[in-house]
Amino acid sequence: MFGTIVKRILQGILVLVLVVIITFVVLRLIPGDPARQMASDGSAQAVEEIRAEMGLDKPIYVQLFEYIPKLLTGQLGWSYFQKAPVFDVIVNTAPFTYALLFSAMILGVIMGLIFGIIAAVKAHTWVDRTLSAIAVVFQSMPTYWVATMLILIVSVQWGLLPAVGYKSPKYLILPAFVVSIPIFTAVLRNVRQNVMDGLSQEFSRAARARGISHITILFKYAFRNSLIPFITQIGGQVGVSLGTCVLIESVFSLPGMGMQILNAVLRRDYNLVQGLILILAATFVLINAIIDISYSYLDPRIRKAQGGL
Amino acid sequence: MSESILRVEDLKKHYPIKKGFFNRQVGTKYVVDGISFDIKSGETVALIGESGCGKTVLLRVLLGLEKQTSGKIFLKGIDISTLSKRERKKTYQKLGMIFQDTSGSMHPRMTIEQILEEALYLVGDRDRKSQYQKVTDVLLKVGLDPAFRNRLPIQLSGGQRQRVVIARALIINPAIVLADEPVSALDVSLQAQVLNLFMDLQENENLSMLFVAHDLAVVRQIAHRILIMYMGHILEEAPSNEIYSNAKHPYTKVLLIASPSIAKGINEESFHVGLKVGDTPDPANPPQGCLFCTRCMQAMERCYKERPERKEVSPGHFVCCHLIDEEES
Amino acid sequence: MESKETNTKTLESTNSVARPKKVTFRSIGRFLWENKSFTIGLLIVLFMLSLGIFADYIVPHDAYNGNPREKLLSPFWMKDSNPKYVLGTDYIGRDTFSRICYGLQVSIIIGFGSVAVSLTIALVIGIISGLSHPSLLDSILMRLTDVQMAFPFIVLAIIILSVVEPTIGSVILVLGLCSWAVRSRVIRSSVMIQKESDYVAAGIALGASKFRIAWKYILRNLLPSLVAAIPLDVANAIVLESLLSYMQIGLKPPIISLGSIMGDGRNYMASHWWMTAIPGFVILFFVLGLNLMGDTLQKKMTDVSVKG
Repeated sequence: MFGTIVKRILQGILVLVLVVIITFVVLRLIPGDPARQMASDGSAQAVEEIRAEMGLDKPIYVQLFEYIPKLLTGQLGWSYFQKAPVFDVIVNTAPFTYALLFSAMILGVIMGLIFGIIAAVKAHTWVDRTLSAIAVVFQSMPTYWVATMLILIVSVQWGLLPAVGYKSPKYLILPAFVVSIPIFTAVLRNVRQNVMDGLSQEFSRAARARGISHITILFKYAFRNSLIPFITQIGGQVGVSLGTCVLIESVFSLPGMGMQILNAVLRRDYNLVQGLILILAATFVLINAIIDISYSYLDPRIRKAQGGL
Repeated sequence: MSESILRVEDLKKHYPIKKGFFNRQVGTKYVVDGISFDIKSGETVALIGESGCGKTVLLRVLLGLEKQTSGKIFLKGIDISTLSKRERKKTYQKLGMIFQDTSGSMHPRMTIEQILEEALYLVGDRDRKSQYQKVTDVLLKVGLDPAFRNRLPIQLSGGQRQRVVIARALIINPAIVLADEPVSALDVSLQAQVLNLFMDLQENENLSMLFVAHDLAVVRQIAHRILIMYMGHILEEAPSNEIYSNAKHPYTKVLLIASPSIAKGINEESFHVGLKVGDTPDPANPPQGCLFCTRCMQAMERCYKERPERKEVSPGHFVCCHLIDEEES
Repeated sequence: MESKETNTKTLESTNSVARPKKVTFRSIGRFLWENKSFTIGLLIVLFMLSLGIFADYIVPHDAYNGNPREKLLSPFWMKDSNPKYVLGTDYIGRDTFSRICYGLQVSIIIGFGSVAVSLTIALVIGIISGLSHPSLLDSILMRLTDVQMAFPFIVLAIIILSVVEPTIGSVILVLGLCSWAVRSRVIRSSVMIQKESDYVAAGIALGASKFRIAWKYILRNLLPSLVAAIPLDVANAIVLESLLSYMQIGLKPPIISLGSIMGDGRNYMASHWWMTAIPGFVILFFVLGLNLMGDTLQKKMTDVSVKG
């Protein structure tokens, strides 16, 4: 067990190192010189000075070998456009993104659980069919388009909720709803299928024969059985939702990491892009590692089957 | 019964047990540990053992799916154990295999014809016309209508699938057929049918076969010789009649009692058998003495200390048990 | 489960079990009737495909140049509409319907193209790493898929598209490169299960080469489930492509994308909401049709693989 955890953590670190290297190299291959954009008078000499100051005049691999030791000691460098340490920028923006991700996950999972169980219990009735139809329509809507339409209807037409920016938690409601849609549809389908499977299994039928109540069977037998596929799926959803967050933030002008990262890429703010991608990738890797480890803990069979994960 | 078809000499297959982060080897599993036998032309030898005794691994090694740790395998006098896959193919001496799980051993999306032709293709028979004829012939031989050729395995019943698997083993004209529990998944009436088919083949085709089973009742009619396997070793080897009438090893006796249809005629008292409660020992940590000592009701002090030698008690009847010495003295 | 056969029959006749299904017009019709959601999806997809593929013959107006005097017209059901322009016109008077037809054409090309790219990558990586499973190569390939999954897609796409000029070809490549990881994992685990199966063992025992095992045994069993995955993957790719264009990092004018039609409407959203809404609904319906098809296909595939 301990060996599995260590192995999983080392794998995660390896993935992050690869992410850092790939980002580093690709960023420096992008045409467009940050020094030229920053030099105030645009003279060749000023550009050269800034390049030297940022270390951009050296070959890529030299820059990489200088960057990685700094990274290991926790220094993420300086953001030239924000005129602040990258670390500070992340500390200021990450809470918005995590709050968005977290509230969307909670919302999507709770809605998905409730309607998934309802659909499974009422399987093959009009309730189930309606829910399935809603799920497939929701699943087909491009999230960024939904976001735009919601701003138009809820904020502009009805004036119910604020549209863009961030001043109070009220500003998170619309974006969180948008991010939760794909989570909701995926969880609904997954829970419906697994609870239905659980209800049709021998142990559930045996329990019914013994006169155990429907509710008890549902939660004690059928739902417990669907816990592991459910947790596995949440892990996958975190990655997808993190991407959706990045995107939806820019539609709603939420000052989170997503907004920052899009601007930073366009402005060639290397250190900031590098730092933000590292944090986003680390979030994804960490959550998935926790989920892998926790379900190998939940189900000893997986511990063996996992093999080369 | 003259020519030796398949001879195995002191065959061993050990698996390392690896543990921890650096995959250190912390032990060895003695799954097959020194097996020898010789199957003559036209002879059917049954290999009997409980699940987990190493019989499936033995078959996998014989087929070349896994490399043996040591020992030799001679197929019609040629040592195939040292040959590479390609060299093995060139010897033109083929092994026909009948798998235990009939539906699992056929590709779910190939028709019966494609499955049989694939076997021919792999052994180098690539003439489409003769392939078609051979498929027809072999299906007739195993008692199936050749019109089955266009079916998928899923469209056949269990008994029909088993016949197709037998057909695949036969179509390549093998030197010997290896059968891994070919009837254990079938219900009794189908078992009888398939066993009848095997007996027909013995008669008409001079079939040589290694027939693996976990139960002595099944092989009574078709085996000429029986090997009793336990934890990677052969504990008793004798002609079929000898086993049923004059079994020497306590383990063989237990197996006989366990088959109701055979046990009926046997006076249970005279066998003094029974089984101690407990599992088979861990193959990674076999007993120092006789392998069966942990479960044997007649185990003596000697049995725990010293592993018994293989002794010939009557012509062709070999036993590994200390009780034989007791009887003699 | 098994039919009982009597001992008297030596030859088993083919009448004892169902005959293999033949594909006829009747069987297709029955499939469509029994899977109505698939049929609805198919009709939507066929409609969208024909709009896109025959755009050149369908479009009533020039999609690239508009008439500024007839700009910002409403669709037919509203006031201010002109019967000449069914879905209205955009801010420089270009016909929205014509632009949507060409946008669909681009969506179709990019959707199917990028799925071809990502499925090819997923197949190669999934089969190689599954076959070589406990090995260094397998570990390297799996870390590579981890990297792809850990990278936020949007960022990756922006970075790549700032290096290469966004053309139809490069957008196909970007989308393909950004979406193979999940599929390759599924393929890998299926390969790992099949590798242990007796039918592969039977082939190896008779001397089948690794290449033949991969090609004739494993791929053959993988293919139907991959085909079933195509509609869902294409739907995904269409949404991502429109997103890139909407954010103005994807295709550049004069190439028309459903995303850029939507993006054009963004500035007029408060007064002319339909300019953003209509292309969104087109994407929604196209993707809905593909999802309805894909769901049914995937369900059928798992049914078959459970039975087989």
